[in-house]
Amino acid sequence: MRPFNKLLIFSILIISITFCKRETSWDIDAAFPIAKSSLNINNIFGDTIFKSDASGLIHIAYSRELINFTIDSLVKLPDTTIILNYAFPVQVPLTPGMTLLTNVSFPDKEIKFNVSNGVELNKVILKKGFLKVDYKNSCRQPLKFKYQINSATLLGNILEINQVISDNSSISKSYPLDGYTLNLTGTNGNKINTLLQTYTISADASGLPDVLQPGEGIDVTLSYIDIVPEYVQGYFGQQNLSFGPDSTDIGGLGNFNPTNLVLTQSSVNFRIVNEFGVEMSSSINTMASIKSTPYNKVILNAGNILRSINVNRASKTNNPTNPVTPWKKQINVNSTNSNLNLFLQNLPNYLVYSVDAKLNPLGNSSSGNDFAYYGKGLKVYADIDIPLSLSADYFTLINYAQVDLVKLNALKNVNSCELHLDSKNNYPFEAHIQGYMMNEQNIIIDSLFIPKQNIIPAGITNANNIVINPVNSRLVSYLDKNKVENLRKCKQIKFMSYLYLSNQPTPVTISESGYLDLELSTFLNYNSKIK
Amino acid sequence: MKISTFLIFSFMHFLIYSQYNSEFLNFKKTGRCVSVNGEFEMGSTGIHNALLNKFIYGGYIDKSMKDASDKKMNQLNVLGANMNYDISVFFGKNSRYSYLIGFKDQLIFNSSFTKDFYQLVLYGNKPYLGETKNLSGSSINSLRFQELKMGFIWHKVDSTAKIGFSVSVLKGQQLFYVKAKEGSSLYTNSDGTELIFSSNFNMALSDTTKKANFLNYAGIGASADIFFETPYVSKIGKGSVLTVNANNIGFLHWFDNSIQYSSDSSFKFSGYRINNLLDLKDSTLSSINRDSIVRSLTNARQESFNVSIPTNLIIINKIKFTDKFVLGTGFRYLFNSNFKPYFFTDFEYKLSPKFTGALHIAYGGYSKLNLGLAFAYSSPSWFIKIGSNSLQGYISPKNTYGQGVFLSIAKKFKR
Repeated sequence: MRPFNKLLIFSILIISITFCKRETSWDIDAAFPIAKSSLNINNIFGDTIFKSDASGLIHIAYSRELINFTIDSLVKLPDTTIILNYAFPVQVPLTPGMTLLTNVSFPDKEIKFNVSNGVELNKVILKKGFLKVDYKNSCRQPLKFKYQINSATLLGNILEINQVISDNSSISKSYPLDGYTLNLTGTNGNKINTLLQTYTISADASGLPDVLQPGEGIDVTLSYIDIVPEYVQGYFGQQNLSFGPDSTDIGGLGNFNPTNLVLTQSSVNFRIVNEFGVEMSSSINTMASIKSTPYNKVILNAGNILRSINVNRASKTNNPTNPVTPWKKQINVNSTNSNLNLFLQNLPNYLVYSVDAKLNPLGNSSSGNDFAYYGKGLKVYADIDIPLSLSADYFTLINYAQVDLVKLNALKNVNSCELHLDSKNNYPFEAHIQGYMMNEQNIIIDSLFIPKQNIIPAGITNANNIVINPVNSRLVSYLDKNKVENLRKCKQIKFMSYLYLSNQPTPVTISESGYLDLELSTFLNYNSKIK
Repeated sequence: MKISTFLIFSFMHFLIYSQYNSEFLNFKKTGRCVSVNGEFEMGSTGIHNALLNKFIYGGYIDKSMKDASDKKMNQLNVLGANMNYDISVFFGKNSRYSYLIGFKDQLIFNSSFTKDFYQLVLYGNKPYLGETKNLSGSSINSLRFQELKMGFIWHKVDSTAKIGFSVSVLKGQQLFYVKAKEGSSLYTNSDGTELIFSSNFNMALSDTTKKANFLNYAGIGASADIFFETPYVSKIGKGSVLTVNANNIGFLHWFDNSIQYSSDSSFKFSGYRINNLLDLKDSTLSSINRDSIVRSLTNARQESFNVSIPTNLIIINKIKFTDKFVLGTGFRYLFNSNFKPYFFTDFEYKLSPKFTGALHIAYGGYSKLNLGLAFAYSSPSWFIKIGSNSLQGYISPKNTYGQGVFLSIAKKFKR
């Protein structure tokens, strides 16, 4: 073999050894912390509904809006259409600029809005809305249409339209009414729901002298559409309003999900806030707590406390940025004047209610000065307060942690792993915890802990079930290669915990000083690799 | 004088040099030629060859292999490797000097490490719960660059001495430098729930955004090689030759995207704090990112900087005792590295007119005791040299430190 060939073969051998190098690997035993947390009751249940009182006792305290009646519940301004048809009955000589028709002395100067439920308005300020006008000119010369809403003003100017309609043509236009103040008292100021308009039809100066033939003329259709009032004033009538049965989603209690809950006390403060300038007489006829899963319904029985509630009118502040001083009233329903404990022990997701209200029960006592502002209304809030002095078998706590560890390639090299969960529990409950690994189809593929080896013991309690000493413990979860691979592949971990209360049915008291300290660390056998 | 000159001249014809990363050393045997040269050496004062081989050739490092080095290593050890290959051409028509042009790729890796560092890397920290592992003095300096070399050798100075000089333009490919200074340590508490990292270190990296392949252009630099060889008359033997060679005298300038880190702090890690059970989301896990952790823990700055490349100094004295036997003694040192002073002796024997063999015995460098063999074939057209300065690494890898091979193949130009 020639030297060059030998050299070539040798070089290929060296290159092969160099570039086909196998992976270098070795196993190490690593120990490191992963996460730590000091959980209080808010952290545990993942909500901010827990508050402490002066004595340190934790309360479930939250507020939900049950009812919110707005201006459209009281006054509905209908879309209104006015049609003006004018056809010349005989031949008329036409000179450019000449006036053909004006309604100055006609009775159609006044437009009456048909406002329902006996509502008598004398003033409306519009938040938004349109005047839509459809024009049709059947003459052979251009005509000019001048239209004024004499009782609609914006910054002192009345609303005026001047439109030229070409010969034998139709056009359609919309004019915004935002911000206009409508005086609805008519020509002499003594009417209600009445708008004042004038219009003039004339031959446009750009046309030619001509003779109009019989039947030629102009059609104008005026439509007040999408009217939204910013402010209404008048007499709202003695309307009988009925709301519901309707439901309000109160969002549940976060993760607070006890089984066989027994409350020792509770209260709900119904806050009525009236921002309308009208008096009412109201009754909350039905109030029921609905638990959707499993379905259960408990009707609140509070006697006559929630019936025949007199609601006074709000007053004006004359401050445009905050124009109303609302009238407020509070009605307290508690575990002594109602079946509220049962009502709340149901752990409702929804409150179902029905409410009746009668406006102006004493008639037009305001002399046509009832008022309502856009964005203001009649609101009813429920301020719920449950001191956490209670008994229950256990609380169920479910959390989902979205994970995507597929890209965490280091996990591939973990041979085995011990997860250590060190805890210091100062709560009067024993926690049984489990983490379920779930795939993309939400199917459980594995779990983190072995049953019965997943218990964090409760703090040591006295005879009154008050924690006197915290308890330290360690849970160990052994993850073999297969479990680690499942952990890498899973898309979410469903943490499911059962918190068993101590010494039931003696009520436990959960105080502000309670805590559950957790430290998660790992011992893992890891296959280090380099190429 | 004429006799001694003759003797020296004839003696120099069968000098063979071991691996010393210099193109000039073979010139006397090859003359003007085109040559391909490759050298590899690796050694440690604490890690056996068997374990080092796993890093070279791959494979699984089992516990017995780790234990073997662990039991014998000192508190502070060194590990180093040099690998280079080049293609060089000596050319010219003048009888007094020749020109040199060549291309060379060099990888220079040297490291110091404490026994504790070795244990943490090879065993992990779990076997050392409750202990503080000392990292002070541990360092890694890995440098990869290519050079385009131009020079000349004046081979008839005073009729027998030679002087060589070359300059190189360097292309920096990759730099990884880290040095843990006094006070660096890692403590793991007794149950593994707390780590305390006392960091007092400097770190420098070439542009990490680029792939570290051969074409990566992360820095530029310059270097020079100097070679001097002169025969002289000694009291013993029939003649002597003194050779001094210094190469890689230079620096590399790493561009703006290079990164320097420094840290002089103590970090206590007891887990990521989770304030709400619902906080355990993938964002928490994805935040466990190596780069972001290093940046957050250190004073990282992106800037250009210069580094010196380890200069290679060789001094060799050869004494000819018979026509067939030459004894060489020498000294080698790599500046700016962890290379220990390397003392060696070469026993060279001319096996035939074309074949020469040499036995190499040395102590120092990256390893401890070295035993090597080299063989050279020289004909009017070819010169081939193959050998190892650390043959023990291939004979008994489980018990020895250091290994290396070198190869030169030169096609001589017709005179």
